[in-house]
Amino acid sequence: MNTGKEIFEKVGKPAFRVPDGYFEGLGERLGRIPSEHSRTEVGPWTKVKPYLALAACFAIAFAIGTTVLKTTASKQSADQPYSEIFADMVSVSQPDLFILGLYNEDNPLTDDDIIDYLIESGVSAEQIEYTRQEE
Amino acid sequence: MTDQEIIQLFKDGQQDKAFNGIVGSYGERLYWHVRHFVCSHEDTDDLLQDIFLKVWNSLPGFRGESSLYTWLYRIATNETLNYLRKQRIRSALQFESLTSEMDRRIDEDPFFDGDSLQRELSKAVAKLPDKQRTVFIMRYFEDTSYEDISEILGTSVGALKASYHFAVEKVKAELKKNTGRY
Repeated sequence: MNTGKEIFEKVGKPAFRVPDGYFEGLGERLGRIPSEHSRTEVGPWTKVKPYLALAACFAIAFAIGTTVLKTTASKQSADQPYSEIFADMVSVSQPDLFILGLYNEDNPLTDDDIIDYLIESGVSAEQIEYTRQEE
Repeated sequence: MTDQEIIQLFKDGQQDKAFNGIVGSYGERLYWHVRHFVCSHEDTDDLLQDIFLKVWNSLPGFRGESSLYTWLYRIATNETLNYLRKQRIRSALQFESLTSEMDRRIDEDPFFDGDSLQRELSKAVAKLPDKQRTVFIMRYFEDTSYEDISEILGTSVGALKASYHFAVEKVKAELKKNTGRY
């Protein structure tokens, strides 16, 4: 570990000095600060104001975002759940046939499809990765 | 005046007297602390005014969670580093480097009595990154304990020792390059 002892032995410390009588006058000059600079009292409103401004910005951004989404999103997909849209295509007794029917020899089920499905189902990325490693 | 007496004055609502106590007890010590960073007497004097103005404005917020010494040195160090950062930006905007500006100030400082080697030491310290420079100045120039530096800077003692080690290495390398010593 470097202690700087070698530098100290050869160089010592920088020999700065101050003008004559500097420190005698310093106390007096600095001591005038309270009388020359009245302290600005920070009231509760001043403290709260930036937070309120920030909250207002978030509210405006949220309102704009919601409006944009409402005007641009498809009416049907927003109102109807997935199962209802495809209700006429899904068999009541064997609902899995609908999904299986989407995949055949020309269009095989890939790992990416499974991962997409798991992610959509709310399985965490860590859990998916753990399962993949176990396989 | 002791720290306890200053704090008592402050608690009694005698803030002017408490402030004068701080000036009396710490004015000179903080001057040297700042001087080791900025080197020039004129700049130190200006900066010291700003530091004590900040101390005066922040005094109502002092809750005694840290010691008065730690609190004052933290303000002084932060203000000094901010000042140097502003200087660096100003130099960059003028297409100059702060290093050469600092070298010039050290060379032209009329209140420097050291020999050329000591001048080179000051220049080498001025080239260190902020953290290393702070640790080097407080440890080497001011003999502050690692524990006190740790409290002032809010860094672990281990990290400070590592910073100091690298700072000493760099200072030695710089002295070797410029003076042929080490």
